[in-house]
Amino acid sequence: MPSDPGPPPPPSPPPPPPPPPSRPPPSAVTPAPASPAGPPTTPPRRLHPATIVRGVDPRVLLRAGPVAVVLLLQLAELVAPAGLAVLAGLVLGGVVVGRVVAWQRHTYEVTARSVVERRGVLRRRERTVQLARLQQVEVDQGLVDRLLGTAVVRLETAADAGEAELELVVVSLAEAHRLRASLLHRADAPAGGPSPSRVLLEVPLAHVALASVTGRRLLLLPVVIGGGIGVLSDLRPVTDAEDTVVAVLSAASVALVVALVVAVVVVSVVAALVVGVLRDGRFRIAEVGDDLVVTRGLLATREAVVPRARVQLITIERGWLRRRLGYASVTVHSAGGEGGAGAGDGGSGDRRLTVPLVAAGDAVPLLHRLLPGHGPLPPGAPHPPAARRRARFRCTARGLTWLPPLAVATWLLADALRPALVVTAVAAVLVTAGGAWLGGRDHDHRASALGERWVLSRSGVLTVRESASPRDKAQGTRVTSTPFQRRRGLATLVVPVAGPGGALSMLDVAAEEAVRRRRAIDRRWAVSGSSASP
Amino acid sequence: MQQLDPAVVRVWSVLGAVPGLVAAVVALVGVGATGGHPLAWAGLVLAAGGVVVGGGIVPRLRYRHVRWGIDDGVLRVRSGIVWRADAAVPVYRIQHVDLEQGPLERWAGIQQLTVHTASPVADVTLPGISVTDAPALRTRLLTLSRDAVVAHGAGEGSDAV
Repeated sequence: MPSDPGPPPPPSPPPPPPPPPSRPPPSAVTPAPASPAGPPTTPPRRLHPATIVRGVDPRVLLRAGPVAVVLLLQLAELVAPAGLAVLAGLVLGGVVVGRVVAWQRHTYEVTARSVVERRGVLRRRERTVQLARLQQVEVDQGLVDRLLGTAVVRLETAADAGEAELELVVVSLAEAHRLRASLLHRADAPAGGPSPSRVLLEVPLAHVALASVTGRRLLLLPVVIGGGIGVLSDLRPVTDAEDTVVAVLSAASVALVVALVVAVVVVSVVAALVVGVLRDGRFRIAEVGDDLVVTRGLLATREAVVPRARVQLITIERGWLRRRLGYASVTVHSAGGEGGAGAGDGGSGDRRLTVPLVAAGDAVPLLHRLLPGHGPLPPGAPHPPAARRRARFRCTARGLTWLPPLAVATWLLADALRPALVVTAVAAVLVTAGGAWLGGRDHDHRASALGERWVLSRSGVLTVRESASPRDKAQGTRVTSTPFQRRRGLATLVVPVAGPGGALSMLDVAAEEAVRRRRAIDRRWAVSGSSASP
Repeated sequence: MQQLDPAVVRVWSVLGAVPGLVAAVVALVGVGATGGHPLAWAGLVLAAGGVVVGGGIVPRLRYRHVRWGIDDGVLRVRSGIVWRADAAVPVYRIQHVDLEQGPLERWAGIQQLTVHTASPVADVTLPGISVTDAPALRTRLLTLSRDAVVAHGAGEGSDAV
């Protein structure tokens, strides 16, 4: 048996006491499996009857609905109205019967070690999710759910990082809370929902509003408008919408065009504001035992629970506009959850766990409140001076790739070579100067560090992103180098963590520093004496 | 640290020669079509050079630069001629191990072994282990992984994430 050189293993949690639920739950330090007393097991249960309606897949409806309507309209020409009504009634009746049967055959069950979902009428599916693999459990209520008293329960593991591994649409709200509590091994589950033991953060509405108008979602409306015009012109080839727009614009006066542009901007801002406030209003992070409970939403509420032990990575993002205003956003990554899906948040991870806005000075203290017990964040050390030249080169090179298309475009537009050359030359000078300046900023923002309990990396040109991961969460290490890096004694260290948050990347650190850091990280899970040759 | 199974060079040679061969065919057609234009001949020579480099030189160089080993419960793989990479995965983090074999690999008698962790970025691949050794290596890695999880006291049900 190999000896364990590392720190002593964490103590296994005591078996949970039997209910009454007023007893405090045993807090698990690590996601240990259920002890023999285990979480209360649930015999197979059906979902809430509202599922018959709520459980219809909107995508199927979008595809089948128009087809059905068109078919009915065609038939209306052939069949008498009475016959049509009978036909429609039959179809509808068939759909309802189908949904009822589907609801009846859809069950879920919580055993000592897993959750089993069985569904399907013609094609039966049984899906088992191990409790030990649960990264995140979410209880969501849309507007309709709030009226009906139901909720959607989403279970996420590290495996299917795109969608929820298991989704129960819908159960009653009380059942949703009870289910979540039992899945996350908590012995008490008050009927009204988890009572927070401590609120770590509440984002005021003003901040949510400010976040909506300073974020990337702002660009959505112009994109939608542009796309809409494109779609319109595809649908109606007779009246070409694009041509109409162009004709209108060229005929109109400058003042009208300016007014139009201003109107678009105003509408974009208002739309972003409304969407943002509805989505993130009443944003709150509370700590319940050893879990982080994140709730948000004004009309449709979403509530995600992430056990602290499952937090892989925390990023602090300071966009250029928000930086000037003195704000930042913080994202908590677990191994489950969507990764960067949805417009407006790019690669910053699951929106459900993104704090829309905090004062810049509050970001790091919040991080420490979210993950206490890991000690302070190490100060980021800047990268070697040799990295500055590489940063400048990188930014300039990226800009220079725009030159060929620019040259070709000017050549085509001007129909002569000379203007194209002049434009390209001017652009080249601008790109080189701009690239050098941006590269300098890239280098100034770049820093990284390996602390006792943390791994830290900071980078970015306009938006500065700081990523911090508990050192214990490293899935491995990877050191890469190009010949250019080797010539300057530099290398890149990548520390991957679980889930779609991805990895911490330290670009252009000193090569010896990269090796020193990776050795320290590798040592954590090393098991001495287990070398192997097959 | 040890090297991969030498048969992997055969697979890489075939794969590396294909682009050059395709280019050579095109150049030949060009020679025929243009009736011996010097540019077409130059293209043919270049393509032939590509076949030699891609099919002969690069695979051998690449083979020489791949080293792997399991040291203190950490699987390490070093690779790359120009762009070098040094990856390390603690066996504790291994979620599952895949063995893959395409038709070329079957002909060469090797398998590709991939170690999966909870992060796709951390996954590590050994492109060529002989068919006799690959299953044993996979078993060995999975056993080491289970032992490491137990040794670190996380319990059998833990997923080491």
